[in-house]
Amino acid sequence: MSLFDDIVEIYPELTSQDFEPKGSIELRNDADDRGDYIFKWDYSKPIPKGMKLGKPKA
Amino acid sequence: MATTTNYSWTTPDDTALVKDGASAIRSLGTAIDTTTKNLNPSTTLGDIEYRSSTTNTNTRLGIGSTGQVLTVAGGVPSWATPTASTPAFVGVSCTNTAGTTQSISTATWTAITFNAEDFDTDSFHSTSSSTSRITIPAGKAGKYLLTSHVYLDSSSGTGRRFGSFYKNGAEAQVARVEVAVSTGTYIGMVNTIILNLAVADYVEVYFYQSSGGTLSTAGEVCSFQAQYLGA
Repeated sequence: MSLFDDIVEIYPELTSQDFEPKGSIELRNDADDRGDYIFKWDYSKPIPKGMKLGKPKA
Repeated sequence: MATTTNYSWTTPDDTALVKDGASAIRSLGTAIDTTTKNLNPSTTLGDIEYRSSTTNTNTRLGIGSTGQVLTVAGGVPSWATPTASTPAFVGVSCTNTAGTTQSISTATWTAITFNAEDFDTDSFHSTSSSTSRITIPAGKAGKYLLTSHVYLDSSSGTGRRFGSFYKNGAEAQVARVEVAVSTGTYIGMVNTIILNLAVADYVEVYFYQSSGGTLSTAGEVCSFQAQYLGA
């Protein structure tokens, strides 16, 4: 399960369009072994529990 | 005897008796001839003249040879052969070793990594740490031409594919490209931009795909290059 899958499972109304450029959510992976993370969250509902904005600490 | 204003040629006074007109004209003609020759010392096809340090006397400069250019040496014009020089290339070309792949999660902007180099003149890139980055070294701030090529597998024809350059972790202006997708067709996304970069700035290639699943790059045909254009 990717981070995208985890988010869409909680908010099934979201589609990949919400994650595209100019969408309300931006996920990133900086290829530094810290994995996918939420870079931007402008969606009207809160960030799901257990997730947070920003890159996880190494 | 009177003299002319500019070249001091001797002429009869208005009140002089014209008793030796032929001699006076001959003297004036000789003076004119001498002055004209001093001002126009050319003798050969292609000669040019330039003013010398002597009043009303020019210096002849013979034609140069093929390929020479007019320059200045010692305060006067001269012909010289241009120095042929090839500027030293400054830049880096990042690639991947054969068989390298990189997984890209769906709907996630992902930095593309490069574990090999074709060349790297100034340690712009490391093949062991932060391998997605090209970092500007000391003394090399300025304009850079960036080019990238990202090659992605053909297992999905769903969703969209974007590529972009990032500068210091943020997408560079006017750097995003998109290509259409179809199942069975590899995606080869080429992008290019000129960026003004300072020492320690770093640039990266990011890729986005929204196939709904994870896709992989064909790493050995991905590349990221930077060429220093000048300060």
